[in-house]
Amino acid sequence: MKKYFTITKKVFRIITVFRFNFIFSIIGNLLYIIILYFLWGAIYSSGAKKLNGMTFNQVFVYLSLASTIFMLFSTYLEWGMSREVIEGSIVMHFVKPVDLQMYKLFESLGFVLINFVTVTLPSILMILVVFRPQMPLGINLIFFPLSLILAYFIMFNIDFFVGLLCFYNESTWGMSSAKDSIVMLLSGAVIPISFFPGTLKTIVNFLPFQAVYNIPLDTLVSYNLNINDYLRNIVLQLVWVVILFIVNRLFFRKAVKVVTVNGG
Amino acid sequence: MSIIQINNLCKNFKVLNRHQGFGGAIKDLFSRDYKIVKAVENISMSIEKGEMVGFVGPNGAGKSTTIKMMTGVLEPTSGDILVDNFVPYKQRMKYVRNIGVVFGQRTQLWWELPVIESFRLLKEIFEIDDKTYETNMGVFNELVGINALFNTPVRFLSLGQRMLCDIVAAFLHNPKIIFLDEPTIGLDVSVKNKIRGLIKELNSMNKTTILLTTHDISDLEVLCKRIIIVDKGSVIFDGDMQKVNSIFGAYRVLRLELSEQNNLEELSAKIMSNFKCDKPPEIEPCEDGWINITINLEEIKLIDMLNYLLTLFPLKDIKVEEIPTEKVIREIYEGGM
Repeated sequence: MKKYFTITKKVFRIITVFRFNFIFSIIGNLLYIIILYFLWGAIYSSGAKKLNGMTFNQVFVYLSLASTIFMLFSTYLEWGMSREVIEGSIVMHFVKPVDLQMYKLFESLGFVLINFVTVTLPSILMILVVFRPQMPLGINLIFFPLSLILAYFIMFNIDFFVGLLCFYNESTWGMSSAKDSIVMLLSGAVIPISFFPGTLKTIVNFLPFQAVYNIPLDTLVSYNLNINDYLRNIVLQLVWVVILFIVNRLFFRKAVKVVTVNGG
Repeated sequence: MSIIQINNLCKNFKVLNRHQGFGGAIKDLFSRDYKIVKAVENISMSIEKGEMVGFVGPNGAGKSTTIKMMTGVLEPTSGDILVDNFVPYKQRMKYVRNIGVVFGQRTQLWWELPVIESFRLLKEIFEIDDKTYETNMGVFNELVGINALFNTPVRFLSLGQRMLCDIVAAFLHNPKIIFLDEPTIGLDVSVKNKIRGLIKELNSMNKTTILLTTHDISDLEVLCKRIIIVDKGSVIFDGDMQKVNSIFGAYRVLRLELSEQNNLEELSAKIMSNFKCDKPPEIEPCEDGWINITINLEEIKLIDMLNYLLTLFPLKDIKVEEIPTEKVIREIYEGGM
């Protein structure tokens, strides 16, 4: 296990090469949050206190944090994997005693930790200080980080899955943006899930995407949930982590043949 | 028991038959029209512990494919392969701890990291204990002064420096077998010498088995006692380096640049009539306007040929070169070694 943590540490050193990225990420995120503020301010200005059970304040915290979490989870995993397959440097992983899925997990963990310090923390501070949102202050503050960590493991597996798809073809850009759009829309990161029509809401509940954004964010901002709901959500996330991890394991065994049988 | 045992190894690749033009590209999207390319056909060999074997052949002969199968990266289509009692592609995780690999075109180091960080990472990944690590790093520093490069990120290293680092990195975990796929490609003579010295030293220190592919015949002269030549996916020669050396040594290519246009046929006829022997010189024009004359030194003295040529016409420039690998392979075919 120790060897995989070393890989995480490696990312810390690599990333300083691209340090200007952070500044642009933060600026981009803050601009987006400001847009959210005015957009949803306009939607709520018609006088309604609550839309679909959410106040303006809740929607704003929900969406601005969703965007911040999106930045947090941006590890460009599938880009890295597809580049390695196209260049053929993927074989260098196979001549080392490492498991590719674990290697990539701990590598992207490094990116997430860096993102957390450089993008997420400043963004959250700014949301708290400038917009002074209200949220329930209770046990949910303990469940939120836990839920967020599980959300990361789900997101990693979705990314890894798309990365494995890149073994089969080279259109990374298309697949990566398709993945981003699907995840953003169906997870409630663009429009809160409580705004979804009934049927879609039911469908979305059976998909892993809402476990990435909706569950942790709902845990944080909703006043209607109690401890049983929090626990049920955590279990649901755990189930998704296990399912996706196994699916990827099996898919990897198949996808790796593209390289080992056809020579990449 | 040999450390590497390969029997009737084959590898086929399925390649899509591509069509030309835009319409062709659309067709390719749905095409199931594959052709089978036989990259490796019935290769058998066995290599003993501690041997240093040269693995040669022209481009596309199947060298790299064979090496990739030996390292467990590719799965053979058929045939048996047993390296250090492992079937490489099946028991990959355990197996790769015992081998070191250098693919000359790629690096196993991390581009963005300083060299020393890459080594530390490899130490963790291969779970090398501190003592072995320190000892090996000491040895590497003694041999090639690796410490001087420690703080440079890999992407800033020159090709030669990177190759030195890559080779010592492959030896870091004391592997039993090392695969070096074109370790001297694109390097200048002095770096090549350094790398040859390094490989030789490391081989004799731990009795590491080394399999080396290269296009540079002088690599083999310095390093290997035994060489295996492959062409079109099959082994065509497996034996003493000296035998091959006698072929390389026996021939020279004389390259001439003429100051005026000459009739090649007329020239050939003149040379042929002057030098009558069993293996007549081969005369062929080159694309760049030069003329290549391959001569067998046992039959004709180089100086005689030069003298004769000078009497025929004024020369602008002369080069003497070793014969290319392809010619040696043809020679082996024809000579039936």
